[in-house]
Amino acid sequence: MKMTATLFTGITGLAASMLIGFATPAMADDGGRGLELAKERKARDTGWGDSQANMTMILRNAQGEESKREMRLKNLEVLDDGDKGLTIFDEPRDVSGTAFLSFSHIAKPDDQWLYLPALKRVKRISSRNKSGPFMGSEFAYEDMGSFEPEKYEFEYLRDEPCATDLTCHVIESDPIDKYSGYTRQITWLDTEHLRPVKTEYYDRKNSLLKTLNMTGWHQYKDQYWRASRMEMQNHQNGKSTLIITHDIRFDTGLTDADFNKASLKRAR
Amino acid sequence: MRYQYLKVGLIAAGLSSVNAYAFDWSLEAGIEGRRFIENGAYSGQVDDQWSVTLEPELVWDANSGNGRFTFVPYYRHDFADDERTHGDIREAMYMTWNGPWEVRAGIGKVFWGVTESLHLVDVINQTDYVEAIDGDEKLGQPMIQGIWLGDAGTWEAFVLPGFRERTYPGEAGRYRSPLLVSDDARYQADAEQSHVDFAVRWSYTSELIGYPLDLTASAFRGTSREPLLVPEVALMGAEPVVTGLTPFYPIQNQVGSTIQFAPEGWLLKAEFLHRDIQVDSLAGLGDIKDQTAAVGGFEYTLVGPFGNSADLGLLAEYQYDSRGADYADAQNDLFLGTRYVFNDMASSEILAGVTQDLDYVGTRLFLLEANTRLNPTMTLDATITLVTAEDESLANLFRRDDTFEVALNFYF
Repeated sequence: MKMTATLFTGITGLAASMLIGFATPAMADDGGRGLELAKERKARDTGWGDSQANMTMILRNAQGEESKREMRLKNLEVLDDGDKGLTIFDEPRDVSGTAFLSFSHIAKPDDQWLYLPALKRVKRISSRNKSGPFMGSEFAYEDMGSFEPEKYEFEYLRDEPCATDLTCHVIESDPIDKYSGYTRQITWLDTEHLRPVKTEYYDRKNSLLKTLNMTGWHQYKDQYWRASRMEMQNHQNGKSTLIITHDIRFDTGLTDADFNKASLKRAR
Repeated sequence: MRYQYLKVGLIAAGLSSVNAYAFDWSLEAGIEGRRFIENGAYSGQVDDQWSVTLEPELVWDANSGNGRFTFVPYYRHDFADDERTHGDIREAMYMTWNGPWEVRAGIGKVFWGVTESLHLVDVINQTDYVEAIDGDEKLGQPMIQGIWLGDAGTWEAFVLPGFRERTYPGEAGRYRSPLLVSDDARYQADAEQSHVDFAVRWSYTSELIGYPLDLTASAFRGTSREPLLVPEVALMGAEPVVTGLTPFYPIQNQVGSTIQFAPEGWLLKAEFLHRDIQVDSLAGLGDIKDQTAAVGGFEYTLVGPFGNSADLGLLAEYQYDSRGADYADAQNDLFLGTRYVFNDMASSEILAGVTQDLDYVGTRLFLLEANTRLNPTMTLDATITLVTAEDESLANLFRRDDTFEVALNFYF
């Protein structure tokens, strides 16, 4: 079994993985609006501390067959760098206890490790694998990492109606990392809370690859919005992946010691 | 099954208040069939080998969130080889932690290392050789382990109060020499199996030109996990005849180190080892050599090289051992391998590789491991092992042990 990458800084990462960055000359001049919105969104999602969640991931192939994974996520906010995330798999039972540790970074590739309980072995995952699929899903590892504005260039495109009853800012974000699987992402951010309700991913040939819809938004600690349903549809292979968050708790007392590759056996 | 409360007492484990622990259990059962392509080289060896395995896991998690007791017994019944029929306590470990501190006590398993083709520095646990010849399966080791997560790296100290003898196949088993290994081991330590071993390890993650660099250094003093196999000589009439092999476990001092560097898609890895064996010579074996050994190479992953979601990993590692070809089989060898990860719902994966001996060009080992999930509670493993060996090389012992192996695993 192999897994790679960034899995988690978690939910927060997912909800966040598309916004913000620096405006650069490579992008059309939007007067800095894209960057401004991105910074605002980051600011609104700062200070959440730590969280734990139970999740179900349902994989569907083009024939409609389903396969289910149960997992738990732990996230720790890191204020001066990317966040730390730990995912522990409960099902399928043959991968039960497998843990995935990631340290997202702003200025360098993320650190990622996989703990294989049968061997008691911690394996480092090379950063290049970020564009690969996470656990056979339509989410790539890079979709799941913590959102760091420095990783993108932004351009504000327009405002338009979205998600049936909302209005959204539409923003293009281009990954700076040359090993990203994407040339660009188009994100619909609702104007009131700056939540990424929808994202389109364009592959290296600039063809539409995937669409992510995030629904079931709930607010925590009177500030932080998290989506309970994240559905990624792959337009090229017909497969889709749904991630359902059953519950999410904040201020659970997690510390750096819970996110150490030497202490992964604690996680279970 | 998680979070059920245990209603019976667990005094033996020192768990005084039952309701302070959440109980969880699981069970893995397996059936394995091996087909050897050629007849065995030695009398009594079978061509087909069936076995069944059972591995329950019982876990008590402290509701306080900083302690756990894990119990994992293991049993394999082999219908052909009595020596492969065996039970073990893989784990019976209490662990507790508080911030950067962690203490574990009981029977457990620890893995040290970074390379794929050989696990050189990994010395805490004894190899359960009858399980798999690649050395990946280990016997449970009694230990007290302390862990400190510091700013200058992670420090681990081990006190190892009991010794486990390596398992060897019996007469019907394959992957053995013409002489059987006796169950009556001898030891250099007067305390024999009760000798207390010690180990320490430091691991540190740093950076080199902006890319991750993982370093470890370790030291071990105690009874060697790798026995010296001493010929037993008996007189048949007036002729001395070698009737078997007796394992002799010497005391060793060992220092080891691992390095891993991860630029872009690369993982560059190496392990280094020096073993100072505290025995100079043994009757029947002559001089005993100290060991200086290294293994190193790379793993490189191509993401989606065939236009689908599959990844392809490329591996190459070189193996060196100072004791030379008469004493070690990983003495001057090159491993080349590939790992094909389907990234499908069934988590299918194929690992194939060949280890080529560079001293004996006619000696090589080919290994293919494939696995997939048939349904949420059932997996399938298939393994092919092919041995080609020159007469003079150590691997010649296994020259007729080419194998197809299939295992079905059930999870409850």
